[in-house]
Amino acid sequence: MGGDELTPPAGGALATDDVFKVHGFLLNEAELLDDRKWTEWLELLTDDFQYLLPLPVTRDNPELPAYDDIAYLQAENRGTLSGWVARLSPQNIDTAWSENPPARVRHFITNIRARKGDAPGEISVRANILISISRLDDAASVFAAERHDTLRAEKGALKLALRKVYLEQNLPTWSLRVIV
Amino acid sequence: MPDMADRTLTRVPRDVLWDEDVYARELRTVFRKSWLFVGHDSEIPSPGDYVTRRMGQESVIVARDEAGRIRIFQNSCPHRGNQLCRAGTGNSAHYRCGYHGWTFTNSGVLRGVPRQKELMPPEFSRDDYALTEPPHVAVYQGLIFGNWDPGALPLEEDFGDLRFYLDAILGGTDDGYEVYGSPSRRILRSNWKIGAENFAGDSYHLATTHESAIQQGLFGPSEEFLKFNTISHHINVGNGHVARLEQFPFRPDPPMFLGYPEQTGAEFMRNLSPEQIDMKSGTFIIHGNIFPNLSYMDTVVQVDGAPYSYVWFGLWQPRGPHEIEYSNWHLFPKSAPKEWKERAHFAVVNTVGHGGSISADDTEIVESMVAANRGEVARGQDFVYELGSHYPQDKGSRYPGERVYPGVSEANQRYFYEHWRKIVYEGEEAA
Repeated sequence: MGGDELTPPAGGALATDDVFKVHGFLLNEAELLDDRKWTEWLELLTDDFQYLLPLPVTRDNPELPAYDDIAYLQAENRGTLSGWVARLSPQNIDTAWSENPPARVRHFITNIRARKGDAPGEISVRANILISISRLDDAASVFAAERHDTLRAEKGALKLALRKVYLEQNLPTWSLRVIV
Repeated sequence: MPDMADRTLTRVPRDVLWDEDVYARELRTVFRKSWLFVGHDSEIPSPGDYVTRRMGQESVIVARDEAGRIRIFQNSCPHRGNQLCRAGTGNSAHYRCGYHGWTFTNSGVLRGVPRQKELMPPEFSRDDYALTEPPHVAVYQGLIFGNWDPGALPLEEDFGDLRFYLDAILGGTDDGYEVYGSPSRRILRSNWKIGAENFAGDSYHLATTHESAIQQGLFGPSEEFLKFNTISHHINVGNGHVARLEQFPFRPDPPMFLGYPEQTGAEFMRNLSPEQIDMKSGTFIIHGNIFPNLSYMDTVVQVDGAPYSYVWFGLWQPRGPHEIEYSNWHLFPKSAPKEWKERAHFAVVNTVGHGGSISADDTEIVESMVAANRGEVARGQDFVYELGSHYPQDKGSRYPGERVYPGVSEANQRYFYEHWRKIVYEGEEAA
């Protein structure tokens, strides 16, 4: 069995080894996020990394995308995420009011589809995400999304170069201070 | 209803967040008798364009009809009340009800009733069943408002001196401003007044609530920001509308507009009055609240080492006494380059967007103020708005409105609640 059975065409099938590497990367990344190992998580990002959540909209024409053409609900890059992580560090956490005490977050990743990316050396990954998030005594919010990731090999290691998150919900009820 | 008579508004009963009668009365008074914001005309640029919005708890369609006129319709069929438009945004010449097929033009006229001749009495006239519109709709600097009160003051009169500030914020460019994308929304578990009065002018919370944002340099290098010694001005422009300015103790000469594309600054110099130029170039943030629930802000944020200026509106739409649909609009000059708008949008979303590090700390407070005061003991207590209540009036302002002597104060919250009390406690008789 080759990787092609796990990865229907688009950019083309990956070698089975690469499919395993992608799965391992995503599971490891989710563990760092759930364990709040922010500094280690930052190491997985390329310098030009961008994290974008297209803004969900409900249009009257079902042929059109259910997301705004230009606007985002959330937007981060490597630099702003370093600021986010610095805010959560022991010297600053006392004034990060909305994140102290921290939320309890658990990532569930499924339907992973890895294909060759547009540029050489890049891998394009789509995956379904379910997240459970709860703060303080609140009941957990559970929400779904699809990730569109671009992974790139740098010095032999996979890195995350782009993540677009398509939320399956128009009107969030949870804190958006969470990496999907 | 808590007793609000004979008190100076340095004290407001905490129960105004919890009392169900207060909320019911607000829906009958504040949200029936005030100018309510529903969107910006750039969201519906072409004939047939519409967005669905709410005015308080009322569901409405905001549309541009075939003649180009902006209309607000109750989003409910006059026959049996089925919702007409269910999408958030679209374009249509007609609205067809999914229940019995009554069809309306986008100017609200009932055009078709299936089997009318066969089923309706002979005297039935389609003219009697046009879509319900608020008696007053007005557009100011592109901002669309409706008012359900037939006897409402005309918008320009109601806004009064607020116009000076809105003109400075949105009237400075040759081609106007446009909303960037669709408004972003989220649900907050809070009372609408908490958000509105915080934005009305809480100059006191910046150093504490946003300490981490200041340290991260989101308002510029933190040592420099703190060294500027900005001065806080609180301005009552009447009818519950307020403005707050955080001004530099100096004026750049010639005037400088930080965070805008170069050509935008030249447009400001052409289109604004000398007082507005002085204010816009000498102020770090202009913000406030348009009564009842539309907050506004014109400011600059530093992201990726560069400053970006933006105009922002936040709507605290009640869905009950303890739930808000919180919507944000970001506006940029229409004439600004596309790449600049993309970068500026990134900066705005990153900081004051719903997942931004600045707004996250605000909404934490907005939600916890309601959560912490649900008990009978808390409901019997007051919120305290004493700050600066001893300041004298300031007569020296170059800008319109009633102004207290500059300094951190809770004056704008007092102005907000003064008008709120008038509308909620005295407004019912006339309703």
